[in-house]
Amino acid sequence: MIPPIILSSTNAEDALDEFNKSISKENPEENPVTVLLVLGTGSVADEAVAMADGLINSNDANYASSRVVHATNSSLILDALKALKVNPDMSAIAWDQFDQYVILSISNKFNNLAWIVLKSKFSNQPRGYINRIIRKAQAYDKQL
Amino acid sequence: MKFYIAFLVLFSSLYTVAQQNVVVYTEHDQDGEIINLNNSEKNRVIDINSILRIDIKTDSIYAQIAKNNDGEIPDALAKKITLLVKVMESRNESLKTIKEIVDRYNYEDFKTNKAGYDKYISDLQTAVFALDEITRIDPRIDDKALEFDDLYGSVYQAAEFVLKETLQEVETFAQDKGVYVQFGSWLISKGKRDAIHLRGFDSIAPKERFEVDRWQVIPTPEQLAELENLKKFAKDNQGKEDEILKEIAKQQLEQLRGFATTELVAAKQKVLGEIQRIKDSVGGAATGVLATVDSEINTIETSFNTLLAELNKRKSYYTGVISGADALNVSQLISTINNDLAFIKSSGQALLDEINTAVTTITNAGLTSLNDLKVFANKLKSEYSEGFNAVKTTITAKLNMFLYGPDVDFAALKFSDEVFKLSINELPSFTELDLADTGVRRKGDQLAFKLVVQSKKGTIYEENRRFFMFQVLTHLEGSVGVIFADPLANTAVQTQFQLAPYYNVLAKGLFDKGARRRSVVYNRLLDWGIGLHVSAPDFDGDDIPELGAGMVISFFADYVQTGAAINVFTGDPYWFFGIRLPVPTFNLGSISNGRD
Repeated sequence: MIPPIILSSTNAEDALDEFNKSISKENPEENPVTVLLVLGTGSVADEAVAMADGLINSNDANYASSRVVHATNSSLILDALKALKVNPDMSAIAWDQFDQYVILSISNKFNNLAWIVLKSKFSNQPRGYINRIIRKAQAYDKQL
Repeated sequence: MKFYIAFLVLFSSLYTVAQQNVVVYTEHDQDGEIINLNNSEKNRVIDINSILRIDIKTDSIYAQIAKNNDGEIPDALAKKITLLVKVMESRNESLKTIKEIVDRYNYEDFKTNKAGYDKYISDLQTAVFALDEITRIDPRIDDKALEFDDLYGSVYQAAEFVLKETLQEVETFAQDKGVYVQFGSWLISKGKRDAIHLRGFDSIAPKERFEVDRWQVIPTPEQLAELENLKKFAKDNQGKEDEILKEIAKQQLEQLRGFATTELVAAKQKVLGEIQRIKDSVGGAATGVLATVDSEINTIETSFNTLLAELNKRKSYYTGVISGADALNVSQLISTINNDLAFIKSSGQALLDEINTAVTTITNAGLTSLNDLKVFANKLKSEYSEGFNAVKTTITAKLNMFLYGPDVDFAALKFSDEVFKLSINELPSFTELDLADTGVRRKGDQLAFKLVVQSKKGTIYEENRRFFMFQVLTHLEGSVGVIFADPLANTAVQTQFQLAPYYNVLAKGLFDKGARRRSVVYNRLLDWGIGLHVSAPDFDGDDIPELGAGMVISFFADYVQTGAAINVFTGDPYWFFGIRLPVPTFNLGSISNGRD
């Protein structure tokens, strides 16, 4: 059982520290995983955590290299996210309206922000969107 | 993982557009077995009494129109379909590759194994990036993939969906351009072709229903008539049995003699003489191109002598058989003849290749001193080619004709006015052809199918298929012919053997259904059976045939059969054999029973 990593919602330093550890920014191989970062709180965020967690802890080997990190207060790590390189094939991220998103993926080795999903769409196909962000993270895990 | 496996199994068997075949054939045999005939193996065998289910894949027709587009549909649409079809063709390989990479993931190992981790990331990125590229072919694919569970396979499932939708778009264009389809079938028997009715595709009158007897115990009227002829044949040839066998050996000897003529030997001698003369003129030491030519001619000389020695050895065997110097060994005779054919084809071709090489070297050398040698070498080549090709062509043509019958010339198969011209949306999705409705047919007959997609500009796509019909399932088969009977008791017969007509009832297809399904050659040459034998020898020489009954084993599609029987009038036993040979024109043993 691999539980989700939940970042502090009040302590910015702790939240950032935990986030950086999850993506192993300096030495990626220390934590060789694709990060599925769930943003904020609420029913859609809970659904995203539950779906991603269920897949990662299933017997399906396709999900073995992914981990869920839940940023209950995404504003605490917003600057760190902005510093990541972004998949050029993705539409521009509205950083000033960041609470409209529910989940994003960060690639395993190069820590590229690979894909992000709108809260308004996620519930239509929860598994489909998680699949998509994992695929994009793997497809764009390269020097951008 | 289980989703992945389930998807792969389902998907690999499901989709046919990527296979490109418009017509899918499935055989339903009398034992209830269903056989998929979808691979395009040229000489596929089906049971002569089966039912064929024939499915028409309209999606594949649209794919073919796109692939061979000549203005029937917009180029962009054709290009998209072609890309999607290509994607579908690669799906199994692509998913297999991704699975292999994914299975390499090891969290603990990668923490310390940087090289392994980097390789994993790089390989996965390449493979998944290629998968992701599929979504660029059409924006619908990325959205549709959301509906499927499988992480990687969902992209292909979505691509399949979009391909089907895109193919439907072709229909409108195809109708506007007057695209139509014709599908027909022919029974090909002994070189004659006869159009067959396919329900939904033509108005050809169905043939009178004819089922090949699977459990034949009593002779057919044709076989009874043949038996009468055979009785006369056996009687007329009594006392000549050994000569008949020797006639077979004579034919083979003539064939071998025709190969190594005196002209050929003389031509070879001239080449050898000339190369020696050239070597002498340069002091016996050949260098450069001359050394190459000398070496190649030496090779020819060696191969030639080996070939001639082999031919002479084989000729002396037949001479011995004909003169009666050696005791006649029937199985050895058959085996030797077959070996000769294989030997001439392989060694003969090797020598021809060597001669061609030498002629090329001599010609390319461009030396005046080699002019005469060039003339002699070309003479050798023409003499040899003539002899070899004559033998080879005879053997090959006879064997091919014997094994497969005349090849189907699909271009010559023309649709009659009774074959409908159907628009694609009018096409029946399937039809069934009960082979019994194709009328009278024999083992080895062929069924040919032809589908043509046409527009006003001409043929867009053509798909042909043929099947050989044999009795594949377990069956009883009656045959008539003549045997060589060797009485084991004292009789009035002066020769070792006596010709006698027979009727056999053989059980076939007992344990070799698989081989019968796979191979025309097996059906033609190798099948076997065991059963009851009845013959009518005349061992007491009173011109009134006696009755013999016993057991028979038949090998090599009745080419060789042997067994033992008892003269029911006298109680005396005798053994017998019958032979047929595939290539020489002389056949004894199982004579046509109306079904083969």
